Amino acid sequence: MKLRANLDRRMTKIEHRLIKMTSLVEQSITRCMMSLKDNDDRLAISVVEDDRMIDQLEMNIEKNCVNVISLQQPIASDLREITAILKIITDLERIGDYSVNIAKIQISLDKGMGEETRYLEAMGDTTRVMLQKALASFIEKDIELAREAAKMDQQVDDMYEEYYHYQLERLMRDESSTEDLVPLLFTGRYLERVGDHIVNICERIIYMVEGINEYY
Amino acid sequence: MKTFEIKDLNLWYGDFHALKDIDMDIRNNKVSAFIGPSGCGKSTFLRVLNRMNDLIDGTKITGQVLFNGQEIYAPESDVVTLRTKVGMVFQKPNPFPMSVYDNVAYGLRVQGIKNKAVLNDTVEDSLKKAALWEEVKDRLSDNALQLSGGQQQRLCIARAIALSPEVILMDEPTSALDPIATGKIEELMESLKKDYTIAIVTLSMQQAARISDYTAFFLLGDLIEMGPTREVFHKPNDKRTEDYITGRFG
Repeated sequence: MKLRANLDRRMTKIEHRLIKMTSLVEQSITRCMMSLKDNDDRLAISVVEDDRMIDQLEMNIEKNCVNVISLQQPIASDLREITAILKIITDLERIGDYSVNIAKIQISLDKGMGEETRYLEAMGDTTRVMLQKALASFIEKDIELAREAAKMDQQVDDMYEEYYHYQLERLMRDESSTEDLVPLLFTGRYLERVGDHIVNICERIIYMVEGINEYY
Repeated sequence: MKTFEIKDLNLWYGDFHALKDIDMDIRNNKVSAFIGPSGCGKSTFLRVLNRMNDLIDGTKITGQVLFNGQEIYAPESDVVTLRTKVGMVFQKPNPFPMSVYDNVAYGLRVQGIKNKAVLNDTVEDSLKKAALWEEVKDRLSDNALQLSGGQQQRLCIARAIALSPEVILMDEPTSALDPIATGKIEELMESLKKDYTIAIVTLSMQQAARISDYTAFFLLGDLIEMGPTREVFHKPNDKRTEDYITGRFG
């Protein structure tokens, strides 16, 4: 008889759902950025609508984690994984919300994105790569990959800083464009926050694998 | 402060090598839990600490077992004195077939104490420390065998306490008790560690996690690791510990 078959089955189910949730969130970032780039309101609307799936997965994973804690009493690596997942899903859900915010900005814009494309696209691409690496590090239990992803947040912060000054100058130069420039400035801010949440996820994965707290 | 220092301890039952090269410190006023699968040596090790294995024929012990710095296996060491200092509570409550009062007073009388006032005070104090006084103060002359299993076990703890031990050894003290009685014994351990050093063998990892300050994991006669319970149950150092506590053995 195999011990802990029940626990293993439940853990695998939770892991699969987390992977699915991460993929949905990654798609959400990709699609909201694409909607901005292509001035595509329909795509933006689908990002807003599909966020429900991410929210539902969060609740479902949380429920499953609580069930494992109450029914299986996990300890050591199992408990670290469950607590890490409970924290990770909160960050993922929040990233989903930022994608929705960005999609809503696209919907609200009079014209599509202008010259800021190069900044925002680069930030979007970097956060997406960070999330992909974070997901791979979770699947492979590879903390080096998690560290790599976390360190990339500096690039996002630098890009945001640059973008912020760029946008501020434009605002000061041309007050007439405030209506679009401010939401687009927010978009940069949201992407910067997405990077921070991915750092949280990476820290949780390091904790899950090694039982240590590292902060980036 | 270390109550026990065990160095390079080996124990054989005849040809069977039951404990291998054990090095361990047991800290005073802490609860140390010994965990491991059946037959791993944890109960044998507990019995080493008050020389209960002396009673088993063919037992051979090498190495050092220092209790407050004194070698308990030295020829001049007095095993009776040792066992008053290092009391023991067993898996199955084993009160003597006599009154509640006489059970607790038994050890003192064996020591020659006859003064009624001293006996009364010690019995009351011991029963209070064992969290049993309120339940039995009006039935001190009742036969101890009429008490419930949980009460009997606390009576055995009171009996050990009456001799003013420094250490209380407990060998699976709650495995025959229901969850409520188990909870009372666990609460009791928490309060007892102010005055005593406690070492407990338990098959319940949740119990070890709940009540102990230090946890030692034994496997096939080896001490695999011992550390603060928080660390052992959070991130054990040895993969075998991790495999055991997460149920990956089997």
